[in-house]
Amino acid sequence: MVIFSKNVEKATTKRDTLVLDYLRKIEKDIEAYKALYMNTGKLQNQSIRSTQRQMLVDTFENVIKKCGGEIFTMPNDDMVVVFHGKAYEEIQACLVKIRFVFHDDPLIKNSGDMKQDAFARFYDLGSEADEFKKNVKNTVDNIQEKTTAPKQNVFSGGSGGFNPGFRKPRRPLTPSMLAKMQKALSMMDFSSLIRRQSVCAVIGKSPPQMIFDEVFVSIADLRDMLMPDVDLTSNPWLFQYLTETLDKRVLVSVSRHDDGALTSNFSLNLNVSTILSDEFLEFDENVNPSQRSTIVLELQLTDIFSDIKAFILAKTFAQYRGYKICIDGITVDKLQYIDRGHLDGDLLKIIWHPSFMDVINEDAHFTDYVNKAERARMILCRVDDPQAVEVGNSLGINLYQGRYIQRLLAAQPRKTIFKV
Amino acid sequence: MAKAVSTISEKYLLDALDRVARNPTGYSVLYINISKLKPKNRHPEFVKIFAKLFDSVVGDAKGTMYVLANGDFAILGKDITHETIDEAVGKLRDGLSSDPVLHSKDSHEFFEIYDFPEDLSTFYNYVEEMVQNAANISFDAEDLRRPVSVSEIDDVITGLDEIDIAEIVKRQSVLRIMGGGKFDVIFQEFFVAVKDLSRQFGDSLDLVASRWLFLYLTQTLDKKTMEAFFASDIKNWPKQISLNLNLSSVFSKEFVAFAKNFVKPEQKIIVEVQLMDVFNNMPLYFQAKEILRRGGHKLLIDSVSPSAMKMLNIQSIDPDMIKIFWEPLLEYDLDNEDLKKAIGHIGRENVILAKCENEQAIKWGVKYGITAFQGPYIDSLEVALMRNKCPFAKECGSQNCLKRKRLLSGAFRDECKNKEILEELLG
Repeated sequence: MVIFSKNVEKATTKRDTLVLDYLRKIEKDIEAYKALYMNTGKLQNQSIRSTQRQMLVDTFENVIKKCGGEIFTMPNDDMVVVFHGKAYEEIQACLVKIRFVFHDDPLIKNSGDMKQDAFARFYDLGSEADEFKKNVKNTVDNIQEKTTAPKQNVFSGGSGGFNPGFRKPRRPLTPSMLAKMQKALSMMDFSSLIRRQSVCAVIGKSPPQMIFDEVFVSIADLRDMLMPDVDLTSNPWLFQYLTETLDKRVLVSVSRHDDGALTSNFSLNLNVSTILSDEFLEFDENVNPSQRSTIVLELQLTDIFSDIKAFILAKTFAQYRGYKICIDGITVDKLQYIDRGHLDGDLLKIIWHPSFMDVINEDAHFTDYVNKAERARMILCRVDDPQAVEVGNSLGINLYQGRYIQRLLAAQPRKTIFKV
Repeated sequence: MAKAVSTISEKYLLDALDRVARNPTGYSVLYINISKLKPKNRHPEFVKIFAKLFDSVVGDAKGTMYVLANGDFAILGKDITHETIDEAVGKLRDGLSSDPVLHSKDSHEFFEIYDFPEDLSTFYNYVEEMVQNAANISFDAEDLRRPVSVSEIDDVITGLDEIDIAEIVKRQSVLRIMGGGKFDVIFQEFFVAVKDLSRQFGDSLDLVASRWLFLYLTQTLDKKTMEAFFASDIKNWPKQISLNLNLSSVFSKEFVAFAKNFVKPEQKIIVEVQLMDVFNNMPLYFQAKEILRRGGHKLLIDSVSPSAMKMLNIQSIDPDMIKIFWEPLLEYDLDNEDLKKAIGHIGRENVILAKCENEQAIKWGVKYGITAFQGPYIDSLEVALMRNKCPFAKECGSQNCLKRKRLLSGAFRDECKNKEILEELLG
């Protein structure tokens, strides 16, 4: 998720200043200032449009221009607004506007206290400056811990090693950067980039049953590790090209069992072209034939529609070998543009969104579809709260994936069944 | 650079046949004519997958598969049954729905069984003959092209500046077939053929080896193509002009300039986009459609196969027009309810059948209520009518007339003695 577009940052944030530097600058008068910390990086809405981002920044900028202050972007896409206390009410009004725009978001939706909740917190810099500084530092440290290899940390310790705050505007990915990245990928330990998230059966209040683990590459981690100032998704076609490279690395990594016991009950995100490549044939040779039916291959619609014939061939081949095909990345609004029956995947992964119910109400066919034999095929993913499971269960959907499911799973002893 | 074909597999196969000949009863060979598939279906990666689909045949027969120099498979084994073959061919048919050879009534066009001992000598001679013939076969230049790499693509894009795009832009008419043998040019499509573009880079680079890198290249090519219109020699433009563009190009300053400064107020643009571009960013698609409609222009979804059509809910995607690509296999698909329904949703007058190679294509289209057609068959029709009217027709071959008619400018076009007629539009 990339929250702030380049031009937004250019226009509104002073790149060479850091939050803490700024606090030093206003030190003499700090009693008069307040700070607002917003967890914008945690917003679930995966496609915050550039207009919305611009709106977010403009909203505060208008106030700050009048009364003094500064806007900062944290490396994790969170946002900090330091402002003069006389603008407190105006800034609160800005926050109301933002809450309204993102009202669907779980982070905001169930909030009771406006001044301090999961999304935003105000600090009175007169009395809470130290706490504010500490929180900013913690955020930055956490990010650095996550993204910096331990070896590099040895050198960054000591005085002046702390470097919070601004990220330069991310540069768009170019072919030459991509070439460099390919080279770096071929040399690095790839397994450290591989992540897993479980797809589980959840019915009513019963504990989740793990069905399979999705194995994927975290693009944000990849970026932070190799090209932290580059937006890898800025050009859709170059990004697709990158995913083809990643596919092959994942296949090799999984074939070699770099990731431990990955022999069954897992899914891979692949391009259609990858299924038709030598790397896949090699992977296939290394899979125990009796386990193929527990392995799911996830394909994206953009890729499928870029070459239907290749998709049909790849699907026929993969299913013949025993693998399951999952049509991935179907947003709620995309549901109405495809014919689920004719796409004919073994599984269909739908990205959960609170507007799911509205779409279904408008689409009578959907209920028929879900209530018939097809319901076992659906997975609701990016499930971050219980509501998704409630709605899904009411429609007869049994399979779920997301942070909420991970939380439920963590509270359970590990158990595996496979029945899709 | 010609390269001799290796016949090592054939030699192994002959060795194996020699061994089997001592006690041939029960053995047979299943011979699969991969070489009879259409070239685009014989992509080396596809062939590997096809070979995998015959794994069960090989396993059941405790046999060996030989992939021969011409791409054909020969499976030598014991007790090869029709059931196992049918299953494998069935899979291949599902996977490769578009190849006519898989659907022909005589399945022997695609595979043959040689039962031993009676067919042993026939088959042995056949393989020997192949080895001899292979000495005379060499790969053509196309097979030797190098796929363009990600580190080269920037150079290719810079290279576009050196090319006079106006000289390689071509056009092709889309005709509406009216009653009483009358035709009407609905619009002309203007495009840069990959072949012509590759030639500019010395034919040694395969620009489309990676679909995604090629698409990246087209983002720049789109803009150059639009600018090239200003340099063309054509005076008589059709009422509607179609361009193949990335959705994002609709938002470019080059498009705005094209729509504002090149296109006359009474003229309209039809923007042809690819299906994966639509699914890559649906909001962008709807926004582009909205912008185009506001200017009286149209959005067309290009190169949709009937199998893709079935996977869509075309009614809610709601493009202004759609282009279905003809393929010979469609001849067997005369009563497809899903397709009829989809054509009905989009409005049959808004559906174009492109890549029409022959009259069968037109007949098929008419059966589905389609009235607009494009492709080589339509081109030849158009050129024949043009040459009927041209007093210099005897001096040029119809192929040259066709080539000149397709060009917008350049020396080859200038050789025509009757350039006005090149620009005349039917209807």
